[in-house]
Amino acid sequence: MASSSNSPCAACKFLRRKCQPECVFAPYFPPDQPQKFANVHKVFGASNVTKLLNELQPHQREDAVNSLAYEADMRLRDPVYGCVGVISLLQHQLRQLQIDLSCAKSELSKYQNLGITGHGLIAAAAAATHHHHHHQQNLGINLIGGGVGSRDHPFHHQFFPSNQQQVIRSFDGGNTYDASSLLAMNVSASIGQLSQFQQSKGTGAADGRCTPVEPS
Amino acid sequence: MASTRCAACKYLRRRCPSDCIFSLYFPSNNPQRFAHVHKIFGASNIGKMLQDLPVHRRADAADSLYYEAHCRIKDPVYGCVGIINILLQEIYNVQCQIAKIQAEIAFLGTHAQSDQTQYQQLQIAPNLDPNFLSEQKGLSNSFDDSSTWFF
Repeated sequence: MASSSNSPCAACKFLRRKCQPECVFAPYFPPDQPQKFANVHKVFGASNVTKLLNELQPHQREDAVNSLAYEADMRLRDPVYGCVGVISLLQHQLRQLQIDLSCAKSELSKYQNLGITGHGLIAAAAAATHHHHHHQQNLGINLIGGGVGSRDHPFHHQFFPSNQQQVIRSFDGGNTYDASSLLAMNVSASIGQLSQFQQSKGTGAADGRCTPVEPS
Repeated sequence: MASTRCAACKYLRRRCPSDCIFSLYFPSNNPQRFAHVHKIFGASNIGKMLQDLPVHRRADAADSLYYEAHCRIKDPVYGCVGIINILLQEIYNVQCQIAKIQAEIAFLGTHAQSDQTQYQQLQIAPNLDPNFLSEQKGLSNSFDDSSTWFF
C-alpha cells in the first residue's frame, strides 16, 4: 500500500497529486502498473471510479478494480464493442457447442441401440453354433473407431470467483468483431481450445444440421 | 416552442445544439439509457469515444456502452466480466459433456468391432467350441485398454 512516505500509487502519479495515506486507489493501482490506471481513467474517469469504489465494501473493491481494468482494456482494444464483442463471440461459441452436443448425443443413442442389437445377435449366433445351426444374417455393424477428442483444460484460471446469478442476455453486437482483439485473460486460450476441439471431429453446422462423428 | 433536446442534453440541463454528438444515440424518449452511461462512463468520456469513431460505427458503440453500463449498475463488482465468466464456465461444461459422449461412442465402437469379429468367426467356423468365444472376449478386452479407462 502506497503512502506519503513511499512512492505514490499509479493513480496519484498519473494525476500528479500527493498520494495520501488514505488514498482510495493506492491498494489497487500499484506504481509498477501505470497502464492499468491510465486505461481505467481514459474509459471511466477517476471520479467515476472513486464513486464506484466508495459504493462497495472494502473486500469487493479489488475485484471491482480488476474488472474495470479489464473492461477498459477491452474497450481501448475495440472502441466499438469492447467487452460486449467478447460476450457476443462467446455466446456464438456456446450455441455452436450446444449444437455439437445434441449431435453427439444423437450419435451416441444410435451406437447404444446398435450395441443392444449386436449383443443379442451374437448370443443367438453362439446358441445356434452350439446346436449346429447356420445363420445367414448380416449384422451390418459399421466398424467405427471414433477417437476421443483430446481436450485439455480450457479454463486455465478463472478471472473471478463466479458466484453471480447473471441472466445472460442475448446481445448481438454485430458480426464484425475482430477476433484478433481477444487477447485478454483466458478468453483467447479458451477459444483456441474450442477451435482445436472442433477440428478433431465433425462439427454440427451452424444451421443445426448434424454431421456424424468421423472415425479417426 | 417544443423541446427537441436529446436525453443527454435534458439530463445535463443544457441546450441541445444541432450537431449534438449524443442526439442520434440517446433519444429523449429513453432517458434511462443516457443516465446509465453517464453514471458509469461520464458524459465527456462518452462524447470523446463517439467523436473518435467513424459515424457509421457510433450507433453500435453507443449500444455496447449502454449494455456495459447496464451490466455494471446491476453488478457493481463484476459488470460485464461476470457474464464473460459465466459463459466461459458454460462453454467448459458443454465441452466436458461432448468429450464424455465421444469417449462413450469410441468405447461402444470398439466393442461393436470386436463383437462383429466374433460373429464373423462364428459364421466361418460354425462348429467351434463355445469355450473359444469366451477366450476371444478375454483377449479383446485385454487388448483394448481404453475400455477400462473410461469407466
